[in-house]
Parts: sequence; C-alpha cells; structure tokens
Amino acid sequence: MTKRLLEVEDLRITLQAGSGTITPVDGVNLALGRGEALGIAGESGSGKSLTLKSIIGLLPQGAQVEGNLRFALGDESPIPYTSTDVHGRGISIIFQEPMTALNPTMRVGDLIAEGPRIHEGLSKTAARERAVELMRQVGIPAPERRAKMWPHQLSGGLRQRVMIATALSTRPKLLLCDEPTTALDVSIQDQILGLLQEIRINLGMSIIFVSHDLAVLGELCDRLAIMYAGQIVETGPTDDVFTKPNHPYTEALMTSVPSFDATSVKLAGIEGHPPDPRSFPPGCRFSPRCRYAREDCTEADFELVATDADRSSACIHTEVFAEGGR
Amino acid sequence: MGRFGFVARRLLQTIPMLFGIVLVVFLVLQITPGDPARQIAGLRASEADLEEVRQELGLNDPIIAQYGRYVGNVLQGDLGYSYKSRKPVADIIGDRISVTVWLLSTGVLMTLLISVPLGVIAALRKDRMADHAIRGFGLLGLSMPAFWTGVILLLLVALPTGWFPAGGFGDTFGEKLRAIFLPALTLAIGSSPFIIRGLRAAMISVMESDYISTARSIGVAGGRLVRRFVLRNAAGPGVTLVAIEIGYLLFGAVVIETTFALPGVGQGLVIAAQGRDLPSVQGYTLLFALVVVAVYLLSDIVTAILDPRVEIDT
Repeated sequence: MTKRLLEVEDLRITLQAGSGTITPVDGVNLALGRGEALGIAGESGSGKSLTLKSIIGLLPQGAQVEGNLRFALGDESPIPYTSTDVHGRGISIIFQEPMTALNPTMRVGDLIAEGPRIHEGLSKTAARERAVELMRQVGIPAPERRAKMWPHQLSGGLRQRVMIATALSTRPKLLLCDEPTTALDVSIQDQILGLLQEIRINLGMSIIFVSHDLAVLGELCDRLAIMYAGQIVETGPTDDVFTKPNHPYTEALMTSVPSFDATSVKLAGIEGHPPDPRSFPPGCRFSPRCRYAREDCTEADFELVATDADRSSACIHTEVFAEGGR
Repeated sequence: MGRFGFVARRLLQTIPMLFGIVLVVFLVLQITPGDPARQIAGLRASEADLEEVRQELGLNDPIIAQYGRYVGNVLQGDLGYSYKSRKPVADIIGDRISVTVWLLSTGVLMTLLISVPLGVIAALRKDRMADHAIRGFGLLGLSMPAFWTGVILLLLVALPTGWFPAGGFGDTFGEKLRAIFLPALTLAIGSSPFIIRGLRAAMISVMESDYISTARSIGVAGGRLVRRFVLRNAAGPGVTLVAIEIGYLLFGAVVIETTFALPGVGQGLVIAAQGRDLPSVQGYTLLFALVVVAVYLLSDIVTAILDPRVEIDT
C-alpha cells in the first residue's frame, strides 16, 4: 500500500435513541492510502454515512465517538486530529441531496468563494474569480453567469457540481462522498462519477465513497469495504471482491443487483430485514439471514481477519462458504 | 415574474381584503343595539327631532346605499363625526396617533434589542445553562400581564428615581423619549419571550440542516457561520413572527396607554367605547385593522427580499 493518509481504529459511535442508547457504528477499522479511492457499501442503517461523518467531525449533536482517527495533514504519517484541524483544510465532503446541502440564501459563487476567502485570505474579487475558475473546472457551463444564481435556479446535476466545486475550494487531500449520485437521474449520475474520477486523477486526491449501489462503487473505487449492522464484514480490492466475494453478505448483495449480461436472472434479494440497532443478534450479525449459517456462527466472536495479502473477511466459515457458494 | 411580481400580486390581494375590513367595521354600527339618532339627539328629544337626525345621517336609506356612502367617505378620509365631541373622527385619531406610533416603534425596537441577541444565544447554547436561564426568564415575562408590569415599573423605577414621568406625554424630543421609555419597556417585556422562543426554534432548525454541515466542512465557523449562513435563513420566520407580534402589540397598547395615561389611540379607543361613541370606535377599529394588514404586507415583502426562493413558492 502507498503512504497512509487516514487511519480509523476501532471506531464506535453511540447515539441517544429514546430512553436508551444505540451503537450504529460498532468497531470499524479502515485505512486509506494517498490517492486511493475506497468504497463503503451497505444497506441503509448499516452505519456507513455515520462513519463518513465522524471522519470529518460532522456528527449530529449528542453523538458519542470512541476510537482513534488519524489523518496526515502534511507529508508525515497520520496523527490524531480534531474536526477544526480538517474543516476547510484537509478533508471535504459532498452530500446526497445537493438542494439541501447548499445555502438557499447565498448565491452559489459566494458559497464557493467562502473557503478561499477564509483560508487563503483572498479579497472578495479574487475569491470570486477563483470561484468561477472552480466552477469551470467542475464542468459548469457559463460559470460567470451561474456564479450569480441561487441554488434553486440550478438543475440537480449543476447543484451537485456546485457542491463539488465548494468541496474542492479548500484544496482537500481527501474527499468524502456521501451517496452523491443517489438523488440524481441516471444519465447525470454517470457525468458526476466521471467528474469525480477526473478530479481524483488530476488532483491526486483520495476519495471515500459511500453508497448502497455496488455498480457505482465498482466504477470509481480501488478498494471496497462492505458494512453490515455497524461493522465491516469484508474488505479487498474492488475486482477481487466482485469476482469472488469472501463473505455471504457480500455475495447476497451482489446477487441482488440486476446485470445486463445474464440471460435469465432471478434477482435473489436478501431474506429478512437488517437487524434493529437496539438489539443486534449475538455472534455474526448477519447469521440470522445467512444461507450458510452454522450453529457456531451465533457463538463465535466477531472479528475481521485477513484472508489474503490485501483482503479480509469476518466470516468464520470462509472455506465452507467458498466451496458451497461457488 | 420574479420577486417584483410577487410583491405586486400581494398588493393586489390586499384590495379585496380592505373592502372586507370596511364592510365588517360598517356592520359593527348596524348590529350594535341602540339608536344612533337617540344617542346624538339625547334622551329628551322628540320623535320628530329623531327623524330629523335620521334623515340628516341617511339612516333611513337602504343598507347598501349606506355602505356605499361609508366606503366613499372612508376613501376620502372622512370617518364620520364623534357623537360626543362632534369633531371629525379622523381629526381625533390624527391628534392621538403620534403617541401610539412612538410607543409601538420604540416598543418593537426594544423587543428586537432584547430578543434577537437572547434568541441567538439560546439557540447556540441549546440545552445548556444560558438557554435554560433565558427560557426561564421568558416564561416569567410571559406570565406577567402588561398592566401589572407597567404598575411595577412605575412603582419601582419611575417614582423612586424620578427619571421618568409617571404618566402623560411630552412636547420636546427628550421629554417624549423619557415618557415613552417605560411603556415601551413594558411592551417589550411582554412580547420578547414570544420572539425569543420563535427565533430560537427557527435558528435550531436552520443549524440542523445540511447546508450548515457544508459550511462547517469548508471551515466557516463562529460569528461568520451565524451571520452568513444561519441568520438570513432564520430571519424569514423571524420577520413573520415580529409581524404577528405587532398585531398583538396594538392591543397591548390599549392596556399600556391606559396604565401610563398616554394620550394615544389605545386610550382613545377605551374612552370611545366607554362613551358608546360608535363612529369613533369604528374609526379606531378601522385604523387597527389597516395597521395589521399593512404590517403583514410589509413582512411578506421583507421575507421576499430576504429569501430568493419566494418567487417560486407562491
């Protein structure tokens, strides 16, 4: 692996829910190299978005975070940081819904100019010029004119491009993407993915991309982490995970995605429902829905173990699963 | 069409509303028991005298005709004549209105000076000591009626210090300011809790929105975050709240002008109602209604200026 940019160690997020507390993220470990694109896949409620927000310190009020987060602001190795260290400096984020993520009472050019004005001390005029430049860079046509527009006057795709320009305005090393294409039309999705790919290559930026859509992740990411019920159940290079999943949940996710080349496919779907975060099942949390589950699955302690040089899985029956599954 | 279209449309909507208001005010006279002619001519007047007065006032005409005449008069600024003083109601109101304008504008200004900072602090320190303290004082302010607050201020501030007159209005600017200070403070104490609570709620809902996360993620923090991202978005609901509050303040003015013996329209309304001086009551009612309509109209226009989305929301 290349030099490390970000390390997440034993991340645990606790939230108040009614009278009790829930732990929607429970012991997540991640490592990201410089220039690498990591995809985190999982169903709604798997904790993938919260994991992302904890990295940039934007969790809702009252959320408790345990564990270690380390980030390399300069060229050294990753060191512990607080959210103010990375806000507007090392890490940026783009959200799922560009309409609500843009200040409705601020012209988009002014929003993009905020970062340069604060962090680079640019004058109003210089910052505005930089905003137009950034808008051009993310492929917004007629940026001079559009910089003076309000968010509600732009289309969904353009709004997301404005969001990306805003994120880039602070020259981040790491761009966090929280399902940025989910709310967009399919044709626009492809454009945005292409843009992110281009930015990543041109600027040498690292990306963590969270989505429930494996196809989207496959297009952009070098590595994948599959999340289930607040834990990572499998990691590995994208191609390897796609060709030979090492966890029953990954396999189930993949067979529930329609593909064009299969002749007569019956979409499998996954039986049952994701577990309630107030009472996770003992042992492997996927076991109640797993078609390979054995008796010891509910007894064994959960742990992500290396299965290969650069892969790991949390399934204790990887061998059985590999033979029986394929 | 844009925002100017919105303002124009909103102005046009006001016209039928004004006719409705004039109609209701007109009907007040019709449905009130008692004979206006008897009221004017006195108890000992003969039936012939009464008939003469009725003829003079056009009370024998069909109601529609009377309404038409009333609308025509109102449009020309003629609100009729007081039964008591026989002076034009418009003149009576004109003599009193400046006191009330002073009271309301100073009261609203004080309300804003008290409630904007406290509302912002309460929202930023949500669920902490400062927030609880502000909400506690707010509850206290809400539970004190204006006539009581006014008397307490007179007893505890005006009389011992002698800085403020215990009643009446002044002639010079300084005298007027001194005379209006405590009444306006009384208004502000009663209305601030309402504005503080609304502003706090508006700011909290703004601060939980995604665009605040976006702003924080690019390093916007502290005063800049509040000024450029929170306040303008919370201002829309805030302006609407203040407009509604001004409507209530008008009726607060009735109580406060009586407590502080201020010769404003609130006191005028009380005097007219006690004397069953119906044309005056009608005039005051019309005035209050027009002020409320104007304030709401103004608040809609201000909101439209503050929020660029208004043009599509209509």
